Amino acid sequence: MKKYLFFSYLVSFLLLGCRNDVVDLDEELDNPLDATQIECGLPALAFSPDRYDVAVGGTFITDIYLMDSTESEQWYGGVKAVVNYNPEKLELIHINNGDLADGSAPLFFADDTTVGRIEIISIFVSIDSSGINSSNNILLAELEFLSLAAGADTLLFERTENDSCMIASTSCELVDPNDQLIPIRGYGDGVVNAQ
Amino acid sequence: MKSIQINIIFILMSAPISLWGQKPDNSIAVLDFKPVGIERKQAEKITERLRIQLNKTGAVQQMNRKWIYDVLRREGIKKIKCITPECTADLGNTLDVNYVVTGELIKEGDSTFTIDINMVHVQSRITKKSKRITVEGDLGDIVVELELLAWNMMWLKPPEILLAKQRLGRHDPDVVAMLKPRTREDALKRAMWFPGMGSIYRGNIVPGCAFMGLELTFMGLAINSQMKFTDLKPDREDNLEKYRAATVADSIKKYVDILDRIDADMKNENKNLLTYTVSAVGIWALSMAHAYYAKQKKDEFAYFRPVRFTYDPFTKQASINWYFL
Repeated sequence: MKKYLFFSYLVSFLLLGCRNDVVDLDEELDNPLDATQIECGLPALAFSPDRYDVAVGGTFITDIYLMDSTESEQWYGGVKAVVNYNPEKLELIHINNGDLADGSAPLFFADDTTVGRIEIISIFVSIDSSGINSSNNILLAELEFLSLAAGADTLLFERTENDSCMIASTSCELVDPNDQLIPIRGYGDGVVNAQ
Repeated sequence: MKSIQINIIFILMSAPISLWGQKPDNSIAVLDFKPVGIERKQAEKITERLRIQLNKTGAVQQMNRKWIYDVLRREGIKKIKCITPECTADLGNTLDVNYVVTGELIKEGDSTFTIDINMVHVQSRITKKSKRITVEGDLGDIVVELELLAWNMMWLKPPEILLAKQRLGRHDPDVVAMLKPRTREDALKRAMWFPGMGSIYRGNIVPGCAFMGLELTFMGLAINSQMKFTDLKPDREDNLEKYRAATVADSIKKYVDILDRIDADMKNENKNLLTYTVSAVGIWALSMAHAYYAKQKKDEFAYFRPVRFTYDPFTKQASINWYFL
């Protein structure tokens, strides 16, 4: 009888063992610049990468992107991105211009005079007053931070939400070449974990 | 069937040994016995039993039937009508063997048979052994006589079981006790080790081989699926890394498409793997059930048939007879 039991276990073992665990692809597709990951729609402002695991006293660099659909025919003239962070945990070291305000006389401003708040203004300048298409994600700015204390913090685009996708108010702005406001639908904040 | 099975196992087991071991010096070719009053197919099967028993003696290298008739056909010999030792020796020369055995199986009556057998030494062209035995009984009894004759022809002492079969009869309880019974439990044990082994053990060669074949096929397919799955894994990891590093929307979309395709392939292979594994386990279970529940297929000449349909070639009459042990 023991032999039969042993065989039953063997068969069960075979049945259970001959399978591979495949992690669901949707769970692994976590690129913050992937348009399908933006829940509230496009255009959107997003941090990439959106997760940082740093050691206290260490620095890290994060990028801010303007995202739009690959089929979008919308042209943009400028962006204002306002980022909030906890100054007790992070310190801004450096801001670099991205690809939007490109050229010989770029119009790129970064104001970090208010503690825990960065205001970035980037304007596309062209001779014919045309704008820039964002169907392939445009880098607005590159930010370098220093981690000051352990714990989690969020790099947050300044806004007030009614619920997850309804924006009540925001300091961030997106304009077309004629300076007309274009609503920003999505925001991809960044999460910092300092240890 | 039992003997055929034993022979298969014997060949498989002795294969590595025979690679290094010494072969017997003398070779022998047994030509199909001429049937008189019995079916040609039956005569062929009975002759085959003699060949198998000659193999068991280990004294001669027995050339198999297919090889013998292939050579003869190639040499343009279609019908063998040899009566004299000289003619038989010529056939032996053609086959390049040391001995040739010819014989006749004659049905004298309902349960009387005569075996006429001659063994010719090819080089000397003389008959080394000549026997004419009358057997009272059925074809199974002829097989016993022939099996004994095989040892006798090689000037060797037959195994005790054969002597007992001749002395006491095949169905004698002592003889039956000497033969290890092929029980359902033993068959089940064999089927547990590998599908089909239990069925073959019980004499069901065809289902046994089918189980083995199916099991090997499903195992092969499962291994193939697993290999494909394993091959796709690094590809997935690589593209996932590229996807995470990509910032351009077109590139991100391209990598998502690639990943979707790889993921679908992996899921498909995983599904196949499960299907094949379950099938293999199913075959295993079926084989065990077959080994345990299927009726044992006995040697067609070795078991007793109480009711027999017979034909008497002399009176040219067909009849149904009842026999009692």
